[in-house]
Amino acid sequence: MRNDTPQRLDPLGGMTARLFVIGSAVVALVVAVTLSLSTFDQLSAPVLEVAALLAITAAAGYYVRAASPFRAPFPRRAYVVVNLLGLAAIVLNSAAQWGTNEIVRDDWPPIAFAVLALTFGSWRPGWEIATGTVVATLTVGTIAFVQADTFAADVPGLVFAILAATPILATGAAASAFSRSLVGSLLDWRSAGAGPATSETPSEGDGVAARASHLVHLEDHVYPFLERVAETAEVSADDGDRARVLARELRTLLVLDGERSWLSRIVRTTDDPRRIADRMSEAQRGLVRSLVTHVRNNAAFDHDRMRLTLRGDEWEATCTIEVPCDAAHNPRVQLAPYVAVARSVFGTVSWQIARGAMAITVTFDPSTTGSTTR
Amino acid sequence: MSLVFPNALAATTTNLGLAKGSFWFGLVCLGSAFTGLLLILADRGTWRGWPALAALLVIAAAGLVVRLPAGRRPAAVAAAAVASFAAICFYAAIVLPNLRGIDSSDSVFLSLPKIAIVVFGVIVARTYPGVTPVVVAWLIGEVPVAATSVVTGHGFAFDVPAFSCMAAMVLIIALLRVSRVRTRASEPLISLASREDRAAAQVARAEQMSSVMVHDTILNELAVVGAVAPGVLGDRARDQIRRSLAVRRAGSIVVSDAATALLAGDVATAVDDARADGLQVTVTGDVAALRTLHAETSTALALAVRQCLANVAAHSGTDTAELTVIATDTDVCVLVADSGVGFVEAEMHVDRLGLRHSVRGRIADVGGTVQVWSAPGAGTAVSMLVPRA
Repeated sequence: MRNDTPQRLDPLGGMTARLFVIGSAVVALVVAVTLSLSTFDQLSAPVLEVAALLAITAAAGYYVRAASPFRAPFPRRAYVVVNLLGLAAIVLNSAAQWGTNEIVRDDWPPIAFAVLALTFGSWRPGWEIATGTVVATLTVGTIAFVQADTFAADVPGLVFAILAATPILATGAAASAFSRSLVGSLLDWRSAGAGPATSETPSEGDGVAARASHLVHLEDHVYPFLERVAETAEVSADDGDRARVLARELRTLLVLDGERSWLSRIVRTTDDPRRIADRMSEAQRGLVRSLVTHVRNNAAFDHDRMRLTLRGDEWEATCTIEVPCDAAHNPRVQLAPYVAVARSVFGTVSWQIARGAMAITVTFDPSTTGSTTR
Repeated sequence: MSLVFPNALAATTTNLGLAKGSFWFGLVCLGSAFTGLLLILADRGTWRGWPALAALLVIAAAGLVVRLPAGRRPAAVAAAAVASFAAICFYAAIVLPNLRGIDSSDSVFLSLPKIAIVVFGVIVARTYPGVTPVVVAWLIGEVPVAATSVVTGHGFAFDVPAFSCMAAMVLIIALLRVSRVRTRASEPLISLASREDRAAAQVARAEQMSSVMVHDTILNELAVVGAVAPGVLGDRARDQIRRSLAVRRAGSIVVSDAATALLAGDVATAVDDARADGLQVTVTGDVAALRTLHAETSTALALAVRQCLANVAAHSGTDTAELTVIATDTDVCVLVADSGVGFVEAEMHVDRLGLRHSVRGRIADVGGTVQVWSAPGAGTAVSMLVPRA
């Protein structure tokens, strides 16, 4: 649980959170520019103020980019970069107002940083957010404390430190608690789901019927033949020949049915000579199945020409889905949730939409997953 | 389990996370106001303002109450609202006279408890969905402070931080619902694919078992009919065909207990049937251990032994076989051996399904293992090791 994040456990929730990241980035920049202009008279080094604005812009831009479902999951590195850029904005703004800063409350970097921090909870574990919050809080508090002599209000320096750090501390604590709560809820759901199959799973004898080709052959040819033989008790030379032919055909169909993988049953043009599809985990199979269904149901794709290719060895395998697509239907946007979920169940996910075709390639470890019953 | 978190639960868990986050947000705001005031009072050497600290504690207690499960009751929410209202009235009345003349109702020490009350409203929104609790909470904080400020001569100033916080929370709650509908639109399809995969797995399993059953029954009957001389079919052969057709009627498509029972029996039955077909089978070892096996294991082992003996009769070129049972505390091993022509397993044609499906597949399904020793001219031995428990 320590390193679980809400996004890893619920990739679709990460997509919802990404909209809020975009919103918080816009708000943070509006706050930064507005307050910067309104406190222009407190600046002693405007160039540094511009640098501070650039730093918070970079933090917001990088944050929005890293939160993309096509780059999921949001890495620790991105969290550190956003924090460092936010802290850089704080330091640069303080330097820009050094000796001329009169009011701590109208300093924009802690507020802009706090607005960004409000949405951290969807991306990183609670403890990591708490750590980053402590570092940022101490940085802001220390800077405010050092500047205390220049502030107009006649209160102890520590009060300025507390008031300056409060926005970051409050939003960081909230984001950390949000992350812990969501991870706890999602893990509880997973634990509950890992138990015995629920009624939503079709059970044996509940209408689940084999539809293999050998069964059709049995019904159409073999059973009528044997029923006649058992009824009449007479066997002619022709019956002997017929029995041998039926046996040969049945044996061939049994082999062919046994060699069909689950994937070749849903996509006719599946190239999987080593039956690597059978080594996918249940989650991986589910994702590929949903992606195939999405392609089938979506006008953006020419699903009749969809092709799946699986290659690999004992340690690493790839599955590539290729399908012609129409860029006018914006297939990239529609693909986002599937890529986001795929990134949580496959080792790597790469995708490309070019020259009227989409190709998605996922990699997985065939030695640790899969079913032996397929 | 579904591959993705169901939409039906997403709102509940997000609201719970928002409530917990809001609680800590409010607590930090109150903590900052409390500590800041404490430092100022200590610095000025006066304790006249200490009741204001108690008022902050009352607001924090109100937040704690609505966070508790019992705090979701209407009476608890109402009590928390009244306590917050009274506490911030009291707080403003004490703090405002001690502020500088230029400070008004938007002083940071007044904003912080107002913000705390607003975010505690988010906790209440978990019980009473919508933005109303947040707006009401904002009014509970804003109105008494503004009134007190005006009465005490400090005047009114629009509190941008408190209002912004309220507006942000309202936007978050409202947009969550809208954005969730858009971004989670694919959840039903992905969840359905997960369910279909489980159903497909069962179909594949049914087909595999059906394939094994067909191999053990229908293919054998066709082989018999194909091998006998024209004329009247013997009673035993007719019985065999009827039994196999009965398996079909019992439901060979869906693998049912009834179908299995028609074929299975135990190892002793398999040996008896092989002997009835003309094979001389010698049985040695700890045969009693077979009775200690789990029913499913016993059935699988019996069907596998039946296939081994059928292979001896059909392919070995000999009419004798030995069956040896070796038992340990944890496993039972059954060895079927003959001194026939032998074979090379790797060179077997792909349509020779008996050893692959009827023996290896069945034993693997019950957690056992199979080993085959054979060479042309040197006979064949098939070892089937199954767990006892």
